[in-house]
Amino acid sequence: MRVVAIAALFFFSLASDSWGQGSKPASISDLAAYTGSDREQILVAGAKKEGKVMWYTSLISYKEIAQLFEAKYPGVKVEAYRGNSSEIITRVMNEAKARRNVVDAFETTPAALMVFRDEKLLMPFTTPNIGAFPQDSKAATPNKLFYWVSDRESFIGLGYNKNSVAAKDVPKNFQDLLSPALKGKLAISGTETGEKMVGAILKVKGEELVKKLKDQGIKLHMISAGALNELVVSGEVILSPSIFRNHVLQAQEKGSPVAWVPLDVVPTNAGGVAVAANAQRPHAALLFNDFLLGAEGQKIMEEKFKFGSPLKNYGFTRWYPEKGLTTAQYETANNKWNKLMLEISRK
Amino acid sequence: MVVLNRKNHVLPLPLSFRWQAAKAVWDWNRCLFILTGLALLYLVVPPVYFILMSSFITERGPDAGAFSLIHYANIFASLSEFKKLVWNSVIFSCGSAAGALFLGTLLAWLAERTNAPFRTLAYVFAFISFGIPGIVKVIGWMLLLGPEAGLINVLVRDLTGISPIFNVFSMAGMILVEALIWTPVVFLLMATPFRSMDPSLEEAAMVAGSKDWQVFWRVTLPLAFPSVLAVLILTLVRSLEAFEIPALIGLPAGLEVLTTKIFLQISSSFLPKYGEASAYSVLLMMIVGIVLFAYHKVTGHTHKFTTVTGKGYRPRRVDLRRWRWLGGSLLLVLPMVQALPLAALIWSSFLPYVQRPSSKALSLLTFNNYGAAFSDNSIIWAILNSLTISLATASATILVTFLAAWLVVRSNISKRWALDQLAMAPLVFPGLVMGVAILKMYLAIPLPIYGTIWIIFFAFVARYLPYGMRFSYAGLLSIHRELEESSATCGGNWGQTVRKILVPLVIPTLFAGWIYVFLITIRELSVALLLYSPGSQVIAVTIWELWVNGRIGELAAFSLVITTGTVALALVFQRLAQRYGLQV
Repeated sequence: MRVVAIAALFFFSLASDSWGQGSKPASISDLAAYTGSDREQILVAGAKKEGKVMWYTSLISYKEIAQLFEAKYPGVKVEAYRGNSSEIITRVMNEAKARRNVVDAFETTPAALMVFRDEKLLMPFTTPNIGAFPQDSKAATPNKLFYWVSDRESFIGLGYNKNSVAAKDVPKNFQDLLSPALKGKLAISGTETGEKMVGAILKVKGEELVKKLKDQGIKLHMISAGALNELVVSGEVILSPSIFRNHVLQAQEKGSPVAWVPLDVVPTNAGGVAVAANAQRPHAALLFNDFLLGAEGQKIMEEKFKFGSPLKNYGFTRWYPEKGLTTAQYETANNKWNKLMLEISRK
Repeated sequence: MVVLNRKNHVLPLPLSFRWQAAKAVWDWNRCLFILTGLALLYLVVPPVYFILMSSFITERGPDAGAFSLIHYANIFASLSEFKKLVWNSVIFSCGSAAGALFLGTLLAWLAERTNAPFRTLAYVFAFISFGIPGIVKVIGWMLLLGPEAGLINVLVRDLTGISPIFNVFSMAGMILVEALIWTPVVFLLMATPFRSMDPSLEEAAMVAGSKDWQVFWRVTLPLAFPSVLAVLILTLVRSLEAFEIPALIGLPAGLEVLTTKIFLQISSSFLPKYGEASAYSVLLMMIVGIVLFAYHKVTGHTHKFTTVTGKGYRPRRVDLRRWRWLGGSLLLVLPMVQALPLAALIWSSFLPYVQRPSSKALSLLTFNNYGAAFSDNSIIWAILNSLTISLATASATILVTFLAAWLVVRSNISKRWALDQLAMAPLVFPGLVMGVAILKMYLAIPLPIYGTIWIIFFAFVARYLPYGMRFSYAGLLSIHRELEESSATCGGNWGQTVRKILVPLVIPTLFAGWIYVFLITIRELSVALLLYSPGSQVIAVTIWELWVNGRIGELAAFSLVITTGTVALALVFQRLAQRYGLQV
C-alpha cells in the first residue's frame, strides 16, 4: 500500500512539474498552439487513438495525398470528402445547424475558409514549419496563431488538347478567346474555377468582352476543373479557360496530349489548411495539417502534384480573387461572376 | 358485456364467437388504421410543409426567418428566363415521352403480335435495364456520342469524314438518351395490353377484308389507346423529374430545365439559395401535379374501353413474311441500347485515361482502375450503405403500403380512402425536390439523423410509397375476399387468416414489389444527392462524385461491378414477374 502511495506521489509530482512549466498542452486549443519538440510525438500518439481524420478538401488528388499520409503514419486513416468550395460551405453549414461534428480538417479555397472563420467554425492553430510561409499566405489571429495557412497555389489558365487545335489558334490572352476559329470549341467548369476566370476577364477587360463570349457557344460542364481536364485529355473538350496548371502538368507526365497557357492574369487559388473548431479527432487533424505544411509535404505538393509556391516566379501575373475582400464583398462579387458565367453558357 | 354473454350462453356458440371476432377485427382494423395513417402522415406531410415554408421565408440578413415572397419575385423578375426553363422542360419531357412511347410500343407490338424473332432476348434485356443505374447509362452514352471524342462519332468520322454524326450535347441528345432509358419500361408496360387483347375485333376486321396494317392502325392501336395515354403521361412525368440527363448533357448544351435550376441554386452559388430552390421546387411540383391530374382523369375512365380484360385470350400473331427479319432487327434495339453504353464503360475501365481505340491504347490496357476503385474504403462503404438503405426502404415501403392497401381494399372504415391519397401524394415530388424537402425538414426537427444513412432512408420511403401501393394493390386485388371469409367460417381468427391465407397468397407479388423498390432505390441519385454525407454516400452518389472529380476509369470499373450485381437481381425480378404475371 505504501509503495502504491509513494508511486502515486511521485507520479503527481512529475505531472504537476510538467504542467507547471506551462510547456505541455493542457487542452485541445493549447495543443493546436503547442510548438514543443515533442509535438509530433504527442500528435501521433493521440491520432493513433483517434484512428482517423475526416478531411474536407477541394483537391482532386485527395486520394493520392491521403495515401502518402497513411503510409507515413500507419494506424491513422484519412477519410475524405472532395467538393468545390460552395459544396464544402453548404455541407459544413448544414452540419453545424444539425450539430453534427463530422469534419476535422480542411483544405480548400480562401472563400470557404473566410465563411468558416466568420461563423467561428475554425480552430486557430500553428505548425512547426510556419516560418517557411510568407505573411500573405497566413490568415493570422490576434493571438499569433492562424485560421488557415496556404499550403499550395493552383493557377487557372487555358488548357487545350494539342491534337485538336492548331498552335496558331491557341489563345494567348482574353481577347483571343473571341477568335472565330474557337467557336463551339470552348468549355468551362461550372464551379468556382469557372467563376474566377469570368471574374478575371471582367476585371481586366470589362463586362463587354465577357458577354461577347456568349456567341462562342461555350459549354458549361457542372464538373470540377480536374474532371474537365480529363475531358480535354480525351479530346471531348478542345479548349477550356478554366483548367489548372498542375492538372495539365500531371497529365503531361502520363503522356497525355495537353498543354496549358496563362492568359492576361492568372486567377490563383491559394488553398489553405485549417482545423475544425469542434474537431472530434483534433490530434489527427493537426498531424495531417503538419504533414501538408511540413517541408516534406510541401516538397511533395510541389514536385509530385505540381502545385505552385507563392515564393516562386512562374512568368505570369497572379490574381488572388478573395484578397482584400470581406466575406460579404466576395459573395457579392462571386454572385455576379456566377450569373455572368451561367448567362454566357446558356442558349 | 360479460353478463350479456352469460345471459345469452344458450345461443349457438358460433354466433357469439363471430361477434367477438368481428369486434376484435374492428379493433384491430382501427388500431392498424391509426398506426398506418400516422406513419403515412409523418412520411408525407412534413416534407410538403417544409418545402412550402422554405419557399416563403427569407434565408439571410436582418429579416431572416420572416415571411416573404422574395424568392418567387426573384424568379418572376426574369420572366423570360423562367419561360425558357419551362419551355425546355416541356420540350424535353414531351420529346422523350413521345420517343419512348413510339419505340416502346412498336417493339411491344413486334414482340407480342408478330412473328418477329428475338422476342425473348428483347424481354430479357428490358428487365436487365432495370438493373443498370441511370447515371451509368448517361455517362456511357456521353462516351459514345460526345461530338469530339465519342466512340461512335470517332468511328463514323474515320469511315466517312462526317463529324460529328450526332452531338449528344443538344436537346436532341437529351431526348434521345432519355427516350432510350424509358423505352424498355414502355415496352414492358405496352406488352401487357397487346398480350391480353380480345382478338375477335381484329379477326372481324380481317374477315371484313382489312389488310394487316389497316387492322393495326384502325383496331389494335385504338384498343390499346387507354394504355398508350397512361404510359405517355407516366413517361412525361418521369422526364419532367429527370435530373441526370439535364445535368450531365443539358447544361453543357446550354439548356437548363427546372430540375437543373433547382440544383444550381444549391450547388453553384457561393452560399446555397434554398429559398429560391424551394420556390422552383414548388413550381415544378405544380406542373407535375397538373400532369398527374390529367393522368388520373384518363385512367379513371379506362373502364369505357374494357376491351382488354383478364380473360386468357391468345391474340393471333401477324405474319411479317419477308419483313420478319427487319422486325427482329428492331427488337435487337433493346439489347443494343443496354449493351452499347456498357461497352463504352468496359473500354474506359481498362485505360489510364479516356481515348479512342488504337494500337497505342491497346498497349496501355490495365486493371489498375479496378484495383484503385476497390481499394478505396469509401467505395466499399457506399456499397454497404446502399444495400442497407435499399433493404430497409424496400421492406418498410412494402410493409406500410401493404397495410394501407389492405385497409383500403378490405376494411370498412369510412376514412380509409385517406390512406390511399396520402400514399399516392409523393408522386408529385420529383426526386431532387424530395431531397431538398427532407433536408430542410431534418435540419429543423430534433430527430438527429442528418449525416446518417437514415435521412436517405426516410426520403426513399416517402418517395417510393406510390410504387409500393401499386404492387400491394395488385397483390390484394388478385385474391378474392371469399378466401378470407372461408377462413373465418372455419373458425380462423384475424391473425390466423392473415398469416395462413392472405400472406402466403400475396407474398409473390409483394416480393416482386420489394425487389422493384430495392432496384430503383439502389440506382437512385437525385434524392440522395443533397442528403448524403461522408460515410453515408450511396452507390449512385459515388458514381456521380467520381464523374465530377474526373476519375472516369475508376468510375467505369466501379459501375460495371455494381451493374453486374444489380442486373442479376433484375433477372430474379423478371422470373417473378413472368411467373406471377405481374406488370412493371
